[in-house]
Amino acid sequence: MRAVVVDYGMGNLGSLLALLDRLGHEATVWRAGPPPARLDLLILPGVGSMAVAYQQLVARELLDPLGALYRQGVPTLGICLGLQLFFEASEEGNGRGLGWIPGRVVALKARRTPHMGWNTVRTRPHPLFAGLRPDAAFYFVHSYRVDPRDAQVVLGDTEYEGEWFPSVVSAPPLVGVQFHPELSGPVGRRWLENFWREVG
Amino acid sequence: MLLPRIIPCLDVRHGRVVKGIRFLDLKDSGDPVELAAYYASSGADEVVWLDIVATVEDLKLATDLIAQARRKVDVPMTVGGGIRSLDHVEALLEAGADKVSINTYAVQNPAIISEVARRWGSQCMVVAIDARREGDHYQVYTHGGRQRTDWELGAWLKAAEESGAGEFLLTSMDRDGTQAGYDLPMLRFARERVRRPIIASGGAGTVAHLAEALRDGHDALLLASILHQGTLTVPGIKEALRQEGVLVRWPIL
Repeated sequence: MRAVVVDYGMGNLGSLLALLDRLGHEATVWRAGPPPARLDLLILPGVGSMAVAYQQLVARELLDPLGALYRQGVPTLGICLGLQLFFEASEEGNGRGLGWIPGRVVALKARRTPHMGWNTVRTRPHPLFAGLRPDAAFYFVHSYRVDPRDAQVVLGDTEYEGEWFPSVVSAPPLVGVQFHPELSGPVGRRWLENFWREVG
Repeated sequence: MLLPRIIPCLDVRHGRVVKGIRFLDLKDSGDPVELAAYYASSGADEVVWLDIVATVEDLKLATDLIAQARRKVDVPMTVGGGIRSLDHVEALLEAGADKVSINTYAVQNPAIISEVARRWGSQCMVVAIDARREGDHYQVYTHGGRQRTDWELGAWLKAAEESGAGEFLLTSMDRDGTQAGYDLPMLRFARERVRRPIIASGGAGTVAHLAEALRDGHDALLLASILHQGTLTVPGIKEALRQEGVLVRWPIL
């Protein structure tokens, strides 16, 4: 499978590309314009503000090709800001999203933000979590959370300062995670392996 | 539930670890790449890499090593030391650092905080602060603790937060190197003043000190000399914390 990682200028890709390399997966970086010719799987990473991210997608002429790939049903993994971009809009700076999943992106209610560090995911048994203990922890860093209109898309959720938020979302061909598999040690590695098997 | 972060700190100079781990079974415990990879694979929740870069050659060496470390380190890496420009920040992030830590230059030129936050997001802007008790308050120092500033700690925390600091790395100069336990009153003071995560630094000597700080609500702890002496290891610390009833990320799979 040929994976393409979208680089739209929101956060560095070093840790993600290193993990893909360790897993033996071929990955191409797509920075602007038309997508690479061979493409089986898309990864949309990123950290930061959704408003800036959307502007970047527009400026790099990525918006239309991304929409076309989505309509073709190309499996797509959104990580952190990538997950948030799947939704319609963010209350942060009136940011727009790709609008592929109904719902909004809203601020965490927590006193202390960002939600930064290792946290667990509450999920029903699912192949994406095969081989992981129920208390397996992933690395998070974010101040906003997704708020899907349809609760059915939520595959797992996570608690921070008493608030539960969706940390894994599935709406084929989209899978989105609020955590960073690429910074989550062996747990993140196994999760990504599971993801690869699921879409492969 | 958010788990505590146990964060080893590597002190690097000219490409070598200044204080390597004694008795550790590494090919070369003075090699920061190998040491960072060892920490990550043995349960460190993040790694902080402090490298005082003074020259262009130093920067080239540092970014090469960070890029090498990135290929092996699968937990977040914060890199700091001598940062004085956005170009420097960009070089470190492109090499694979997840966050940058700025201390002295943030005091000299606080605009760098907002510039980094605006360009790369506040989550990657760690403001490092050295402070010590003076009478009825805490005073901020720079230049590795050699220079007193006009900033009172609470005021500087507030100003840095408003500029866009996403996290603080707060070292108690009164406790640093003493191994007498973290400066809990200072940490408590800082936590009440800002809404950003704070990494506690200075004073860790025993697992009991870590447990004490965690129970007091300080959930990100920097470890330096306690690991360098080789008497404690990250797995040993996590196992001991778990036995004391503190939830930690352990085992790591």
